[in-house]
Amino acid sequence: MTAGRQLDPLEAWAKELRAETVSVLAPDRVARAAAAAGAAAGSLGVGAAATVVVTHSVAKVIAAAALTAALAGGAAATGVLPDPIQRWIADVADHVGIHLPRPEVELPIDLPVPTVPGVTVPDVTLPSVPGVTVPEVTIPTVPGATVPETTIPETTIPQTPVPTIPGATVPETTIPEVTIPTIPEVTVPGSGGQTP
Amino acid sequence: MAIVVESTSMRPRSPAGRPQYGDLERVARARQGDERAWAEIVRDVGPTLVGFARARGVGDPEDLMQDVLVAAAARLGSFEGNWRDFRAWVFSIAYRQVVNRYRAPEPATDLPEILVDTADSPEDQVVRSVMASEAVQALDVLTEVERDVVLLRVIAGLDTGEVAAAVGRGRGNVRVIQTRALAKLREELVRRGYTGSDHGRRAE
Repeated sequence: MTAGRQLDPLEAWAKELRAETVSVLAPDRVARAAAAAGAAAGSLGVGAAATVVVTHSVAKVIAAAALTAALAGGAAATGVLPDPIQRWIADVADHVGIHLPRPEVELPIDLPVPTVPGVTVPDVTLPSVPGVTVPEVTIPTVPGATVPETTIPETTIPQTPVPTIPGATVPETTIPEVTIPTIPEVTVPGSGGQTP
Repeated sequence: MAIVVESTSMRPRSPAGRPQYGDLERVARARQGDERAWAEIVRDVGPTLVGFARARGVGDPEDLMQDVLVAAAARLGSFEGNWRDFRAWVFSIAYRQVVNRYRAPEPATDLPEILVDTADSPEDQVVRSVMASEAVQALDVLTEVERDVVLLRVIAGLDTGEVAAAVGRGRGNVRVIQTRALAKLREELVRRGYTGSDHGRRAE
């Protein structure tokens, strides 16, 4: 070590501070930080963005050429182009305010609705309680539930001939008078005791 | 008084570690997510970023370094300039992250007592030893902004204009802060007995 040159206290302090706080990073730490930063730059597609711009420019030229050709031939206007091309040209033309027919979009989705076996909705008979109003209840539809159709087999009642008994007479039957009982006065709760 | 700030490059000089890219090419490749370019950037800027964070009292300086570089990577599309501009820009991100960490500390999570590790982590021990050093303790006489200005000058090696851009103040204002901070530091160092021996150690 050479003889110590007299340093300004601040200069000496700065050197010491740097020596104490700044140190070479471990290789694995460098690798981890580089991977994280590289992924962040890559995931945002900063590099890819340039490619997209170039691709987009090329696409514009191709689109313009295709559009011109298609319009000139009236192909796009009549919607006779293959679906993807027709849709693409219609999209491009929309930007300049030209509306061309678009092919129908077919959704290749065929979702089977599962059936729920063994679900039966029982008949419910509500007893009538005087003075109580039962609100109308709507039974929600259970999605996917099917009520199996029940067919009642036809029943044939066999015709039975009544044998004639010689000498027998059927006495005249009188139906007794039926008296309808008087309905007692019904008081509706909350109506002030008036007869409805 | 002028603090001579040496080159902050910590790039290995061995043939194996020699930078593969020129400064501009490195940034251009980093923009595309090239990990080798980022490795060179980490080797170059990382140590001073960690040093800045450490001197600023950040508990996890290497994590902060990585966060800063990831943030820089995410915004690299908007950066324009040369290598020096790049370094200054990265430190402006570091400054903001340090300020944000102190402004919004993470909420403490209550753990069951059995899960609480009361022992110091190795990182805490290192930070504590650095914080205990005289050089770092001397910074206590400075206000926060004075400390930031001095550290960005001394550790990051930024010039006054770059520091002004990083901390979002005018160049004249930064110059005033710096002059005041250095005067306070000098007074403190003299009071502590720093005589300016070769390696900055206190004369016995």
